[in-house]
Amino acid sequence: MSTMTIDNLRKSFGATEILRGIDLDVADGEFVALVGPSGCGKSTLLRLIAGLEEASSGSISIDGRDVTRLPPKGRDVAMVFQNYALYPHLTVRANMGFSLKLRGDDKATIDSKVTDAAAVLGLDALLERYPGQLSGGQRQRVATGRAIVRDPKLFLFDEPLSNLDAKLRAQMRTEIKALHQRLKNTMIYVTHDQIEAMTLADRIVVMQAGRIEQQGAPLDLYDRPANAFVGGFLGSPAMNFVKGILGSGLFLAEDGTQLPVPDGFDAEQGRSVLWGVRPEAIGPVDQGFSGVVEVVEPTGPDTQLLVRVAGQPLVVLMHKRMRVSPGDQMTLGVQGADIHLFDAADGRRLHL
Amino acid sequence: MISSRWTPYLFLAPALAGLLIFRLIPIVVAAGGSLTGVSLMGDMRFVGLENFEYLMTDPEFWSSLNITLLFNVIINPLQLAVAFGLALLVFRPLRGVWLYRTLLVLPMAVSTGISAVLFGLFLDGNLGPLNGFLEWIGIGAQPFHRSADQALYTLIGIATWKGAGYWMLFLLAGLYSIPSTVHEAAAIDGASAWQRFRHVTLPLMRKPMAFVLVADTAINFLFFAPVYILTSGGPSGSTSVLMFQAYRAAFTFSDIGRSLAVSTILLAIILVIVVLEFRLLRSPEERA
Ligand SMILES: Nc1ncnc2c1ncn2[C@@H]1O[C@H](COP(=O)(O)OP(=O)(O)O)[C@@H](O)[C@H]1O
Ligand SMILES: [Mg+2]
Repeated sequence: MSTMTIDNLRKSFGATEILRGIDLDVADGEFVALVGPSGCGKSTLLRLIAGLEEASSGSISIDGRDVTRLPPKGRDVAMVFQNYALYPHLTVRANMGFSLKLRGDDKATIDSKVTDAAAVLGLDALLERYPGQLSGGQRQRVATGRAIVRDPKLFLFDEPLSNLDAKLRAQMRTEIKALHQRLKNTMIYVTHDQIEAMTLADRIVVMQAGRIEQQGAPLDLYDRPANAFVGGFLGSPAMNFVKGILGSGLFLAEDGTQLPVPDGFDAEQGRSVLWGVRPEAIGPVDQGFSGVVEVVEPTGPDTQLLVRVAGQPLVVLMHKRMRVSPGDQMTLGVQGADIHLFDAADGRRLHL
Repeated sequence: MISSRWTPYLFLAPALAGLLIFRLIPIVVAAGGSLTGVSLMGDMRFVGLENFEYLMTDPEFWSSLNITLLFNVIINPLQLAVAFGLALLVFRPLRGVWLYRTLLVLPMAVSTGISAVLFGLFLDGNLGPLNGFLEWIGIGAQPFHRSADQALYTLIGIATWKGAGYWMLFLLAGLYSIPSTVHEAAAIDGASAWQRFRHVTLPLMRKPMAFVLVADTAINFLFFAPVYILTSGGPSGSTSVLMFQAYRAAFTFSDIGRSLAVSTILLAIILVIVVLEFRLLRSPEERA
């Protein structure tokens, strides 16, 4: 059992408040991804959970025990750092066994735990090497191994894959997912890569400017973002937004182009809104709105188009090959259920 | 077009020439000179190992060698420890810590000669403020460099006052080069402050410490100006380090050959000790 509860947690550095009241409950065995743009306070939150920074106010409990004022040592959490933070003067074996040695385990216990973890992570052949003799991916594995030998209550990952190249990142992502399914430990995983968050997490927590914007299951957040920020943050290529006002059963873009609204949507006319639709939800139809193709980007399986609609470029993602060229006229359509309307002023979602 | 085989040497040539002219040739000349002597008529002649043989039988040389070794056995670890302690103190990001850093480094800017003169006044038995203070707190005045018992330690104190802040700079740079996340990883791994120092800071400071120890050793074996200015090797030869012997042989007894023999022995000792120090402070990775 290991749960975590964060209650109205705040953190200021000098006069600037970096975390502005975070409430978060993490269930036993849950994999929670913390996402948000750079500088929104993800690392700071993780460091507070680890005990590397002191909270300005609020509380953190792990397994029902208040750890807010405890040093890292008393919290039984493990952390994997972005730069791995391996001990450069120790072998892989000693790096992984360091925490066990500190807590006084005997040599045989340390050896067997390190050997087990090394086997899980495919590090067997590297145990006598020094960090300086390892590749980036191997260092990442050692950092993960150092965390798992301890069998901590809570795993914290701070952008652990962001220093790896794209291919290795995808591979390690799968490994981390497999690791979680095997260990079933509670994990909190910080990333600014929304694909990582979508693929790994049971639950995504989207942060912005020190606050939690929305949290929920990845696909729920993807399908029903609570505000324009979350809609724009999750998904790649990102959601398209068009500014305009509501008409009667339709949306009027700033240049007068008429676009559809969600089925059965009924709200005050003349209200300023943001019309949002994901790139893969738009496609060519017989009857719809028209646009002019500006850019064609074939990626192999997909074709990504930039189409000018209502005076602004929309990204259109087709999961097939398309024979179109810049300058072509297209008629596009979108299903009512795929349209998101947000308040233009505060970005709030306007419908269920 | 110059053949590519020679290009690297061409680029190295200026540095190698400097090394040759200012380092290697003087050493060879000195070593050669140590095999010469001056006859009563005043002309130089080859005497083989005569100078060395003389030194081996000269009790003054042996006593000087002892003093030099004692001086170094104390001063090098002491300066390293003091410099490390100071570096740890001013490493912490406290408000106004830059002031302390500056104060600690300032003695570097005082020339060795001037600092020796200043310490002469500071430690003076009649006028010196330190003795005034010691009397005031009831310890009583101390002779310092005027007594055979205290002179060597007084010189060690002066050299440390002047050197520690300088060596601290290198160690401070070393401390800054340890990534803070490594300390944090250790804290999360359950290390106390002391365990972090013992298992992270200390091993990761090997390289800067090795550098400081080796460079400091080379400098302290050549320690001379304060001896010359404050004690002239006395009282009763208690501070007559080998450098002072070499100086006296050359300029008091006009025996250049003997002076160069002392210098050559000094050089050999420094070489052996520096090699030992480097080995001592090798990282386990380099040993493997
Ligand atoms: N020790 C610190 N002192 C002052 N400001 C800090 C400190 N640590 C982080 N910050 C600031 O807090 C904000 C959030 O940082 P961080 O949590 O690292 O963001 P993220 O991990 O989401 O990119 C940034 O604006 C950063 O400059
Ligand atoms: Mg961060």
